Amino acid sequence: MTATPATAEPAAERPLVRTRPTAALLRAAVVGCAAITLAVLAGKPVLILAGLPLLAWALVAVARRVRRGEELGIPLPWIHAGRRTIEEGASTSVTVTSAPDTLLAATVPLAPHADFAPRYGAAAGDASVRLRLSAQRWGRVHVGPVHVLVTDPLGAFRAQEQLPPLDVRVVPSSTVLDAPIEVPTPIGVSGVHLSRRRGDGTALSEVRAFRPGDRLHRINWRVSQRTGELHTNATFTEQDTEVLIVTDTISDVAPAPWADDDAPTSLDMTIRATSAVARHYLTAGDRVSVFDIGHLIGPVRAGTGPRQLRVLTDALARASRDDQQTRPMRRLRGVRPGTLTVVCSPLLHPEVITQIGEMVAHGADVIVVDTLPPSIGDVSVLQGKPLRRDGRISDRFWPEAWATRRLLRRTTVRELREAGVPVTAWEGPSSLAPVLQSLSVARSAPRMRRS
Amino acid sequence: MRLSALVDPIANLLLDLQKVSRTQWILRLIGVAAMVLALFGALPAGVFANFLAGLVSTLALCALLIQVFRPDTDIGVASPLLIILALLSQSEVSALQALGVGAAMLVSHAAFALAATIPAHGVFEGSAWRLALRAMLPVIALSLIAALVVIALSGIRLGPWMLVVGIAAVISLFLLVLPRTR
Repeated sequence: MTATPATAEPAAERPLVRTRPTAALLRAAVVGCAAITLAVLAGKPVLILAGLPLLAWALVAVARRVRRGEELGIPLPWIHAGRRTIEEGASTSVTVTSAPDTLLAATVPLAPHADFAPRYGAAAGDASVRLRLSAQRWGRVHVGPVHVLVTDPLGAFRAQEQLPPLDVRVVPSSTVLDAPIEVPTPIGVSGVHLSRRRGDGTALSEVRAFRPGDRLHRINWRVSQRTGELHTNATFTEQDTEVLIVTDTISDVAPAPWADDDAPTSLDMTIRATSAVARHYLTAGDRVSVFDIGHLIGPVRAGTGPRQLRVLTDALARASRDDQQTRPMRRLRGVRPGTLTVVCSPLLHPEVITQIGEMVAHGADVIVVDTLPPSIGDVSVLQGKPLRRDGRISDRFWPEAWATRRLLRRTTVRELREAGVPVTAWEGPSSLAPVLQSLSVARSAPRMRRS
Repeated sequence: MRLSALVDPIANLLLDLQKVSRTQWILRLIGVAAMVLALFGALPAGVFANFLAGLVSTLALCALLIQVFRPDTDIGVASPLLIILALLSQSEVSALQALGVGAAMLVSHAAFALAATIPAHGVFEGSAWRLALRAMLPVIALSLIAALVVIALSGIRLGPWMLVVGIAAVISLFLLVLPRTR
């Protein structure tokens, strides 16, 4: 059995694989010939009738093979996927095709966080087998290697091959944030956010005396007529802003054993929050970039528009979640003052807290999205003995250890809030609404100079 | 000995059985039912009527049981051979009886041959069933035609020299059906 390329070339040009007789053909030949032999030796011709059907089965199989010229081999089956990039919860099909009028059986190893139809990923069909793949979690799903078995319709001659695997990219689901788009400090050039600077815009800031250089179409004739002096409408400029999303992928904390089967890990929550925030601000026309502290997602430079959203979701989907190791930390060198920085992190590593402090010191407007699974450190389940749920038992003191860790983390969260960094737990599309609302209110409040 | 140590392996076995697809259940049950039918056809007096019948039936059923778990096994040749031997031991065998036994063995053989093409958890799509049934039509046609020829020629008495010709024909058939490579 050799692994050979399985591109979608026409059947006539595909390499051939040799078929071999099966054990069924041997059984049919032996039984058929044995019946005839015994009939001849015993002088009972009717005994031939008992072995005749099996012999006919074997003869038809051989004749079919000769007639179709399959003695040299049959074309190698090929595989292709319907869509190579899908969203979480969506599905795609994987089709294996072989020469016509052959029985094709394809078997795919089950992949984590992906469901197949048929359920266990093995099916047989007439020259073509279609397997449906539904991805439950973002990332890359390795489909394969696919084991294929091609036989004639009777099962007398067969060939087996292993086709190379396919990768299907699953992008995080398209959550729409239910939150305002206002930011405290727009620092861009032109966009939808009201800034404090006066200039060309649509929002009225004041009506003042006309100065040389003011645009004539801005003259407020009613006020000018009433006061006897030329007055003009002054406006606030509208700017876009830069949004930096910092993702903490240093480690992936799994939910508690007693959580639901589909409960997300910390990495799931981080990726989904990142995707939702990025989509929210890219839709508003802002520049969004991503910096990954944990080396899992490559850095994504600032960009705008639908193209940036595609680049970002592709980068998130390319992240591999197969390895369970803790990754080294990458440091963010600097951040432009006024950048809205959204940090998605479970807040477990002191280096991350330090990094947040540095970003605040650089003048960034930082929001922290807490992505620690809610079932971790849940004190309501503590009973003073190992927890047993649905036949699963936790390690001794595991729930207590995490409860203690969460208590310690509470101090960290309180200190961040006292430093002016809002911390909100990720609970879906409406998680950031209160925080962003308070930020938009705070932009007009007196601001304390950061030392 | 803890009860769980006894029960858990059985429970795991039962859970593994859940993964066996409906297609495999159907094919293997057809294979078993047809072979048992052939056994009953070959031993009309009863499968355990005497010691030899009982011995043949037991061996055939054991081989069948193994074939249920391993449809591709070479041991699957034992059941039909034993059934033919049982038929041979009958003093009077009618053409209909022999043909019926042969037909039942064909159904069993075809079912196990198809079961061997997919894993235990594999399923046949509708197109696969149609393809397999379509492929059986020429087999059935050839069997019927050949049976008519055999029945027509069975009344002809030939001399002992026919033994040599017959054996040579059998060997030629065997070599024709089984190509050199395996």
